[in-house]
Amino acid sequence: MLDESFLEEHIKKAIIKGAKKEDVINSLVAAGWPKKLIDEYVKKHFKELEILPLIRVSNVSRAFENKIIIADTSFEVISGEIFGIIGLSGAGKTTLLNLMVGFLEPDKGDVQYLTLKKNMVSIKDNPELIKQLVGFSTQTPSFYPRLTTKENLMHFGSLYGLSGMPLLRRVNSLLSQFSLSDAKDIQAKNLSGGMQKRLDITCALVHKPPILFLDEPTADLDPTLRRQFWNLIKQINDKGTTVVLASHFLTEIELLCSRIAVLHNKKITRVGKTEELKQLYSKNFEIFLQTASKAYQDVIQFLKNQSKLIIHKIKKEGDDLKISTPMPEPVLAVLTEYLRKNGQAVNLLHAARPSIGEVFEELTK
Amino acid sequence: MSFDKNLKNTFKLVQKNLRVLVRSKASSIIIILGPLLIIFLAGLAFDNSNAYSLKIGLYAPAKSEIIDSFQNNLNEQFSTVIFDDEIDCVDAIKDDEVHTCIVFPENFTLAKPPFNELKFYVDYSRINLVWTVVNVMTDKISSKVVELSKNLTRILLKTIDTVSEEVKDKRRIVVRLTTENDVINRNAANLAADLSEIDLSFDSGEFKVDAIQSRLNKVKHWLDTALNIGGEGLQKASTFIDAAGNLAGAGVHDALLASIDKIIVLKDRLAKTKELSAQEFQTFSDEINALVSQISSTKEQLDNADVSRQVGVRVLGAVRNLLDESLINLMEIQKSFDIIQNAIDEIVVRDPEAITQPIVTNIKPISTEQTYLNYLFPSLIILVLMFTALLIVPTLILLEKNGAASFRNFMTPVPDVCFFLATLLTSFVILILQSVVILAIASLFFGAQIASHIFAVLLVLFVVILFFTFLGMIIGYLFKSEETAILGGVTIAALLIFISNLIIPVESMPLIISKLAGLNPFVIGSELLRRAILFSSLPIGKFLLFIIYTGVIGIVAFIVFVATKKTALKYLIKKLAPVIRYVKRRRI
Repeated sequence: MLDESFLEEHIKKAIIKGAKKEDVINSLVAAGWPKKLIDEYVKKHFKELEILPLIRVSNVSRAFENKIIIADTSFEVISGEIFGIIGLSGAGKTTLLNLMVGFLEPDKGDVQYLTLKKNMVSIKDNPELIKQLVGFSTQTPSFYPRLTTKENLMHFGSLYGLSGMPLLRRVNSLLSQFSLSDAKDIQAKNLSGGMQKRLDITCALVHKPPILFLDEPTADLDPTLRRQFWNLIKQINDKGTTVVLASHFLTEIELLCSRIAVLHNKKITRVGKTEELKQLYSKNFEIFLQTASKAYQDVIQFLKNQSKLIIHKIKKEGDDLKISTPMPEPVLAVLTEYLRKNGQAVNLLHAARPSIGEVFEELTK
Repeated sequence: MSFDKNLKNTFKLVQKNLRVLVRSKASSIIIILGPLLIIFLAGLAFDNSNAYSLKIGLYAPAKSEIIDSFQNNLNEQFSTVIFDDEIDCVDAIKDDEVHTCIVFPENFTLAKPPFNELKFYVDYSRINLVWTVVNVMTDKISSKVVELSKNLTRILLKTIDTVSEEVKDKRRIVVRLTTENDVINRNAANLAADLSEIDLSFDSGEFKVDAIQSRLNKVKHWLDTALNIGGEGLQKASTFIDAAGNLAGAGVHDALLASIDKIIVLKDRLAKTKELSAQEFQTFSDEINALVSQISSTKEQLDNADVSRQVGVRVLGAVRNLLDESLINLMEIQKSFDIIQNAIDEIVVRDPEAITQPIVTNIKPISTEQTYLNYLFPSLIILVLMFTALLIVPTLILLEKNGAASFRNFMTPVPDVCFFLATLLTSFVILILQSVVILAIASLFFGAQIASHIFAVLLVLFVVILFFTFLGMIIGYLFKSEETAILGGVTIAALLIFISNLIIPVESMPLIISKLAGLNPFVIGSELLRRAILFSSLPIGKFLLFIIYTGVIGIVAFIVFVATKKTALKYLIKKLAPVIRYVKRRRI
């Protein structure tokens, strides 16, 4: 006879210990528990966890040499999300992250974390506890350049209290997950930029933190590596890790983040889901056109002559022509007709909401 | 976090620190090769007891045998360069061609000031060499001077021997003279006494020459009277006979005639007697007169003799006085001779070598060490440890503080105190390893006697390493960049070296600096190690002082660490909170 109370207790304990949902399910399935029952309890208890704010930033202010960098900022990060912070260079994103992890102390306000016991605790009072919950990958990789990849992971893992086989398994798992196995015996300073970045993230994840902070994670990476990283971040998040991502690379934020906070004028001016922000702050759609000839002079002239159409902006971006309009349908119809008549082969023609960049521009006006 | 976990983390950090340091080529060189190189170089440089290879410049206005002798003497150990000009010789020191310049005076002559004065030119700006040059050259010249002194002393000693013999010889004469003088004196005394006793008083009246003369005159008178009476008798008898012959016959006549004849003969005889007696008397009278005269003369002579006697006695007295004085003088001379002789006899040191070098400085090492390395070794090891600590420890701290991993370290739930302890332990391990390497090399290759004193040596090294590690930690925590920290470390090390025996003797410094040097941890550390290595003993006072230093500097290091790490302060407050609460409760 299966004892459901035991199963529920086991799941609760696993959650408190910071176990990932998948791990809990897999281990219980392996132990012979019915999948349906497992899913029921896992869903119930992980749900409870997910709806609570994981980090609460309350009226936080910080100044350096009488210059206010962050002023009276408040927001919350919800468990399981990828939370993006966007802001201009020098807006104070890194300062805000440092305040959130306790590396800097706020002059005013507080940062609270939801512990595994489901209570909110101030970072001021429990810095060591919070450190167990948090992993941080800074803009500049933070590890020992003269230690090998594996040695770095083993070292930092041991400082988080891991040891023996669990540590070794965790390290090997991370090396494999982040494609660093082949570089495990290479000194970190000799790794490529992308590998160093991956190593930095693995160091941040070595103790299985429920929250991962990423500060400009793809700043120095080429587009290919950047895409790989985005996938990696998604994978991390998919495994239940809440990710707080600060970046000035708006495409990255738009692509990865479920919610975005806009840091402007020393405070978070807006927090919301990407689409919400787009709807709120962008009245225009964007029509992207790419022809085989990639010559758009005649098209531009044609559109400018169309007095019935409302077109705000026509701009050539790379091989594409970008047309901003609050009413995309008539523009698309006219444009399609013009191209057909002139016998121009069309590679691409579609209308879309504007990028988060425009939202950001709007918000930071 | 529990104590066990913190301890475990501390050891993990130490392990990581060592691994990182070993992987860094520069650090490895400093940690391992640095001390090895230093000890090898020091060993090769100082593992001898010979004088240094000095180049000596010589300038002599005129050549002489004695100068050649000096040069040959110097050439035995040093290389000499002859200059034709004094200025060139001095310039050669400035150009580092020679280390010292010796200038001989013109007409260089031994023991004749100022012609015996040698001038030494040295470059005092090369303070570390100048004393060596002065010492070595002074020794060398001294040996030559001693040799010359020996010759002069030999002559002096020979003269003294001659004097001694002469004194001995002449003393005998003086003794004899003294004895003779004494005899003469005594004789003179006797003589004077005898002379004094001689009575030369002469009373001529006692001879009664006048009475004799008177009696003689009386006798003569009586004899003359008698003779006259006899003559008259005879005359009367003759007249009577004549008368009777005339009256008497022939026969009676004849008889009377015969009587008359007889009377005539008697008469003649009487006359002759008278004459004779008169002659005799005269002779007698003359003799008496002569006698009187003689007596008078004798008296006069005796008087004169008495005067002479008296004079003689006086003279003898004076002679005796002179003899006494002479005796005193002779005795004085004898005494002087004795003093001279005694003084000469008392000169026990007759060896010219012993006289020219009355004190032979035979330097006996109180330890069994023989080479410069052994003398320098304690300072050298402390120097290496000090520099390593003051360079490695701040580097280690700043690598941690400013290094790429600093943020990651912050993010770990490891208290900062563990990092403090890890730095301390890492530095301690490195310095102990270095010490072991240095001690092993010094012991194996240069024969430094350490093994027998290992406990004392390790005890001192333990405290010294702890002290300099704390000092390095203060620098590391105070400074923000490696460059400034190293500069700070080197400055402090230089300061400690400057007020130590390493460059110039502490005794030659101003009093206040000298006193400060006595408190210099580098000096105390070196002294403790020197005592430990050479004598296997520790001066308790200094050792305790150093322990106090270490304790104080350790506390200061921790205060600086806490002051520069707010999180450490928080950690401490948190850890101390229960204690504070307990104290508060107790007060209530």
